[in-house]
Amino acid sequence: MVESSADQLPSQLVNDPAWPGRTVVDDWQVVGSLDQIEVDVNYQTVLLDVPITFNVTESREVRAWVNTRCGSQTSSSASARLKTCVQYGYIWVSLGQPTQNFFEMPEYYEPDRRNIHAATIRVKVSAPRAIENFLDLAHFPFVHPGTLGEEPFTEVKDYDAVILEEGDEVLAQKCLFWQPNAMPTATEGYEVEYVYRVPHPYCAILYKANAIDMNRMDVVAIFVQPVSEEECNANMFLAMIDDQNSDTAIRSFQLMIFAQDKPILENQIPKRLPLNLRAEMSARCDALSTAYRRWLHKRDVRFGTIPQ
Amino acid sequence: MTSVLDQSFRGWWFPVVRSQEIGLRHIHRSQLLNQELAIWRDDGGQINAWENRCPHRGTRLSIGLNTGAEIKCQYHGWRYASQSGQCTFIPAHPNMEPSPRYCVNTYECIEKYGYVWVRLEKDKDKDEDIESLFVLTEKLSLTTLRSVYTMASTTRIRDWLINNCESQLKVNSPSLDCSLTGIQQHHSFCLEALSINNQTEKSVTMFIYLHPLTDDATVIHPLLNASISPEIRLDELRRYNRLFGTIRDVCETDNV
Amino acid sequence: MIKLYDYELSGNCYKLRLFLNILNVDYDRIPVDFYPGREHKSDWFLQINPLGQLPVLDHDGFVLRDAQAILTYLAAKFDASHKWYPTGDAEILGKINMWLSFADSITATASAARLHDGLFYQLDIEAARTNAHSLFRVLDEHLWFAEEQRQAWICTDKHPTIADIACFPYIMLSEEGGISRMAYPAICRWTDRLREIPNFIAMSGIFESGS
Ligand SMILES: N[C@@H](CCC(=O)N[C@@H](CS)C(=O)NCC(=O)O)C(=O)O
Ligand code: FES
Ligand SMILES: [Fe+2]
Repeated sequence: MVESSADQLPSQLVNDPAWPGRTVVDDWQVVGSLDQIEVDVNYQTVLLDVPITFNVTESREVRAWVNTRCGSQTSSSASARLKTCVQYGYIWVSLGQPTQNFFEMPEYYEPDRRNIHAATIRVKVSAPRAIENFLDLAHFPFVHPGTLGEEPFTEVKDYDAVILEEGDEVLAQKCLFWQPNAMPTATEGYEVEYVYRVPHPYCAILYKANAIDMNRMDVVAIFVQPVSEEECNANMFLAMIDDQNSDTAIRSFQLMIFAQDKPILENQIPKRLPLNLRAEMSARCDALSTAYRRWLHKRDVRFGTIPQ
Repeated sequence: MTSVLDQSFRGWWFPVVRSQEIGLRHIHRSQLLNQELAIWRDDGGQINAWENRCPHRGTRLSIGLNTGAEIKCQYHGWRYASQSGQCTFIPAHPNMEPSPRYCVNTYECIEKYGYVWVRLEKDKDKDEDIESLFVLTEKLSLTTLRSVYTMASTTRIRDWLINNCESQLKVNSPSLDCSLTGIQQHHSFCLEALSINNQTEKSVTMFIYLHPLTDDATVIHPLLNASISPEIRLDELRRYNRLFGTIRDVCETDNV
Repeated sequence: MIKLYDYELSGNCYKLRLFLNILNVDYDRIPVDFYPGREHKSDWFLQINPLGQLPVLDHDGFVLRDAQAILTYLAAKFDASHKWYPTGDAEILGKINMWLSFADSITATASAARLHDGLFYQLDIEAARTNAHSLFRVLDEHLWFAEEQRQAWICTDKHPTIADIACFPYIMLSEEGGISRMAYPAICRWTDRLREIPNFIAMSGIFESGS
């Protein structure tokens, strides 16, 4: 395969006002799941329109660099080397100088949970459109009939959606929705409570009441790699309290759900998310989506959005 | 050279699809001058040409459901009424009356001469009677032939038809059993020609409408100014389809 | 008992789920983790199908691979009306088999493009898309002339055949491979009709309505 190469290094790109990635250049961005990676194999990908290569050594050390014109082998110049880390089972890369701490997801460390990477899927839509879909309750009866929703149970009751100053994330609570078959563990329909967090412009986490132990919450997260402004790789992660289903069953349930969202996402016009709140019509059920758009605007996120 | 992006063409009427291809409960997805359209008929027979975009979260309406009176969007089930495009129901808030702000962008459309015609904007300078724009002065009995989709610009097809068709078609495609002659241009998107059956040497006038989907894709809508008797209808349709298929292939391959 | 080695997102597996549902035949699904697990290339599955492909049908120990082959088997075995695969009519059988082979070409092109775009398969994407468009052009023209003769289906006037079932899934999923169906309005009308068949079921990626 022909490897593409970058015209400019990120250090140069940051100063290019035409590059929409410059306002997220210091953030950690996901590029793959550790359990899909073979040791010492070079993987090519594109992050924020910049072609990069990464590999993982036996000792789980990750190396990543920008593909430059003079080749993309490990011998790449120091200036092309990128900061990397491993977190929550995924490989993260920053094109700049990461300053912030990684967002918290303490459930990952709870011993009785099963952490599962469901799959990585390429979607022809901007990363923020994919996140917004993940944050949305109202589509369940129409896009996931029989599992996450069912007509005529379409009502979205009012819930709280706020931008937290501390921790700088979006939070929605008390999101109630009736679901016929909410989880692989569910055996009947019931009203499910959701909590949503958006701790990163391209990552979101949801908590939903466990189908067996109502006092615990299962965790489903989506970590999206912004490839280009109109394409992304969606990584689906679960931290489940479930001692009944196989990994394959949990994975395939999640994949089935996401594959229902995909054609919707790929049929949204425009592919980038408009941050002007008048560009698309919203109702009360869209309080979380609206808060997310506000927050992206406040953080001046340009990659994958149509700024105001 | 005229680009289809030329804003003034938005005030023109274009045929976009044969009327009979818009059946009940169907949604036809099309494009005109780079604008995506969802074209559908309600159960009362009224035709709609809408922007193919739900005003809520931008989903293409053409992947939704035609209920006979409304389009129901596939993403969140919002419903939009025939003709007005007004939202009538938001399932997430079943007891709320949707605000008049929630409305699909609609375009003017009309059915005539066997086609659905659409214009994207009212022409402020000349709001002529729709009849006079169609340049069909001498109407016999019209037959709409199969519309042919091409991956070639409208300019490319028009120029080839005017400059090369007569001299090249017969030479390069000898197996065709009909040809075009006397091609003249009524306006940028409508040509008139004489179609000759090479065996019988009979000729018929036809109109060739060019429908720009995008800058580099065009639908050719050939309209025969004659009726075809039922016994030979299928053969005739196949003959014309071969003719315009050949024209498509030529315009797509030697695209200069 | 019938066992279907199955993957939810596979259009070829879906053909069989759809047809089994239409015929009202009970079966067990044996999920095979095609992506990301690549279980169809695992030792245990290669014992069942050395080609390492889904779907496979096991009917009381009679094992058959290839979606098209399985459709003919199911129709001949379970369709008492003999309308889905009229075994007594040589001409129609010939036509159906011609279009079953066409369906396989759709898999080789449109389905490949979808695997490339969504699941990171490495292949010549331009060739896959171009060839899919060539096939869609042929089918659209065929269906346009069929409509002119009041023929609603690929091979037949009134009642669909397994050729319609076989061609349907990867046409409906084509946009996931970057293959737009806008230039094929007769195909879109036919897919609308197909979704009206009694007992129609959808799969992830295919809606019950819409073009
Ligand atoms: N495994 C999840 C699937 C859900 C999921 O990840 N899908 C996203 C995309 S729409 C979502 O919003 N899910 C809501 C939900 O989990 O119920 C579940 O069991 O519910
Ligand atoms: S996008 Fe159409 S109803 Fe939400
Ligand atoms: Fe969803």
